[in-house]
Amino acid sequence: MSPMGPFRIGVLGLGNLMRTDDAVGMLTARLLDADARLPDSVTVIEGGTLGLDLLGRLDGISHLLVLDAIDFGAAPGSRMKFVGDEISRLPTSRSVHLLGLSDLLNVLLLMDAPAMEVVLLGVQPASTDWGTTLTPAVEAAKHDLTDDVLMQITLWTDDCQERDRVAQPMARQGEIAPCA
Amino acid sequence: MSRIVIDPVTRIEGHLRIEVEVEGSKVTDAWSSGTMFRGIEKILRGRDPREAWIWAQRICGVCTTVHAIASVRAVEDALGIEIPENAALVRNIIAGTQNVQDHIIHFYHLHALDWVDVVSALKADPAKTSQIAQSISDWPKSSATYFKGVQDRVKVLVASGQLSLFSSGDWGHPAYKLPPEVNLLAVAHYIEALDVQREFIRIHAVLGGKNPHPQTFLVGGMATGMDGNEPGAALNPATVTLLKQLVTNAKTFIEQVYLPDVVAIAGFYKEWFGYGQGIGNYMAYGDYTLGSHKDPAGFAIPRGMILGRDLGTVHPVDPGQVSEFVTHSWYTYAEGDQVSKRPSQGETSPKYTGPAPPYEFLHTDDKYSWVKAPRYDGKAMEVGPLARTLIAYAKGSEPVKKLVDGALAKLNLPLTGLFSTMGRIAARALESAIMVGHLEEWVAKLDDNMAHGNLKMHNGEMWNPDSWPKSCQGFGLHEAPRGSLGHWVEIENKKIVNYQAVVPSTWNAGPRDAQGQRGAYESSLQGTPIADPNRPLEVLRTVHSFDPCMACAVHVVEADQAAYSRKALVI
Repeated sequence: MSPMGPFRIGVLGLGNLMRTDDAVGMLTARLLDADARLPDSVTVIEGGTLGLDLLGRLDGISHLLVLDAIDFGAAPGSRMKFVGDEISRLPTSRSVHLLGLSDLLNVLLLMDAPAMEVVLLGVQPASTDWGTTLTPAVEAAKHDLTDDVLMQITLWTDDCQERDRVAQPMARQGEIAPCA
Repeated sequence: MSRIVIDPVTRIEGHLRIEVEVEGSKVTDAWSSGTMFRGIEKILRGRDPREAWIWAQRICGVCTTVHAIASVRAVEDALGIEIPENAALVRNIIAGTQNVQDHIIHFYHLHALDWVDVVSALKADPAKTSQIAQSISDWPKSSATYFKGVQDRVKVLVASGQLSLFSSGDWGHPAYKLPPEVNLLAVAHYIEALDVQREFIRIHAVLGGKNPHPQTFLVGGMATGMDGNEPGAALNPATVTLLKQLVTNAKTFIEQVYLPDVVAIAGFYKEWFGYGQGIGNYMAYGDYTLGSHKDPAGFAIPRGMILGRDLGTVHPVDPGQVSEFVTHSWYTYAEGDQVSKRPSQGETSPKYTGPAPPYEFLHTDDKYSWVKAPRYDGKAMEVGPLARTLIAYAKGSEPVKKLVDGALAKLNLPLTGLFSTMGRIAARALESAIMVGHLEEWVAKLDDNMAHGNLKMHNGEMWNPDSWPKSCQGFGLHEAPRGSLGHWVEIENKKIVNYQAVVPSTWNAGPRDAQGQRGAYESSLQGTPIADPNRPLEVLRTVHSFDPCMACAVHVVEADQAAYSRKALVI
């Protein structure tokens, strides 16, 4: 999928705040919302455990960065980036919320919504039992995950600016949204 | 004779297990079990009754508003508070919106796949689908090109091997009867309905600050600001215009898509107007008034009860006659488990005596569910859209009669056909059409009040707890999407000392009582045909026709770690 609409990045944090490491996506989203380095143009969405209720929140987003706990069999706190088909190929049992996420993306496809570039940043949890704090390894990974997000935003913004440079005349006429 | 277990039942909210006994390709008996414990009642004890709704609303994430409404009404009843007309209007609009959105989601996204074969839709000729669409409705999205586009997108999804939200259907099952072209029509509308429900529920964000779980409920009224001269107020001329637009759009969809689809699909499944009859007793507390809830005569959805499918007599309903059995539920009563207790004196003492997991079958002769068994004057009742429609019809409501008679005439069916699985589905669609008409009236009335400077939204006379009696009791009733809901509260020294909720899915999904009388699901499954015991689609059809909401029925707070089930897709 390549994005067609105006450039707008959304960061979607998923997870249940009451199930220890499962909350890492949500907590990182909150951290980012308060981070001065995050460009003002980026929308942070606290997705929690919502599924299709999030449809309305994704309106107008061209680049979506999803943060969630994913069991990919590595050491707790490890981070992994999933793009394109890798997201839909992930076995649904690996993340508590992936069912909701892959369904959400499929629904957008069925609804003929404008294509969206999606990147999923996963953190290997140590535990998803009841509890309101992260385990130490995942707590530490939260800060690295924040840096990963900022880097991905820079990558996307650079790409967009490159596109704008090539398409300068159109950009000046306002046909392409600025990549701020 | 064999026993079939469906656990978990999917495309519902919450955790439901159904066990059925099958003999000669027919269900001969059934047991319905809620497999998670309820406990909100315990959480509410000791709290300020003015905040009860915030907690109670979290009983469920699907019909998010209903427990807030029942809760504030219970506290208002206990303290003798009447709310201003504007607050009644806002509550009616929020609740009516919930009702319509829930019915649309239920039909298209939770239930349709029991009747619509998605894979068969790929074989359809889009030009023929277009002809069918144009023959039953003026809905503009009906060209062959449009249906071809839908078909192509579904093909991409199916080819990816990730059926995703279509993965829970029994594709190719012999009980599917729709031609490919009608399947394609329904799939297209399934997708359109996703957008419709998403857009329509913005009404909750306008009136309640957010969705799910609107935040503007208040004992004594609503905290929704209204001011015709204040653009920052939640209700101002611009937002009222938006509300009108959202209601009009939903009305068009219901009239041009939902109702014609239900009639078209039902026409291929006429035998299902014969299956799933159930108890035959129907009850509705009634709801939706701009006046006092002490006066049921003003209810737009009437109160009443029908016994033994006799539409000739509508019996009165006295909420004091509601009581709950735990004879077959995993609770105990101080007075013993053979008695029933009124919710005003209700007791929630959990005691699990079922088998240790993993197990094959529940001990259905003994206790087998976390859902209690509510009864009215000792009688089992079905509640919900069908009950409300039958009661309104029997009471002579002209708009309801016109809609019901019109739909039955198109299907060439007698009125008795409504006592069925398909009758529940039809009633939900007809009720949506009635409700969206009320929504138009209520929004217009709110607009009129605003224009005349009537902005009162809250009655604060009894807000200060120092003005309360030392002890008092009250109850709040509401007709939620799935049926009659009641909250009972007892207040002492400014705190809640007892709280009980008897919810629609408790009435419908509840187990047997001390006399062995079956609950509504259990009763309705008798005689259900089973074509393939390995894929009991027919059982799902009848269970889904009630729109089960088990989080409501069992108020999830304590999950067995191992049994914790993924429910990210709760729509």
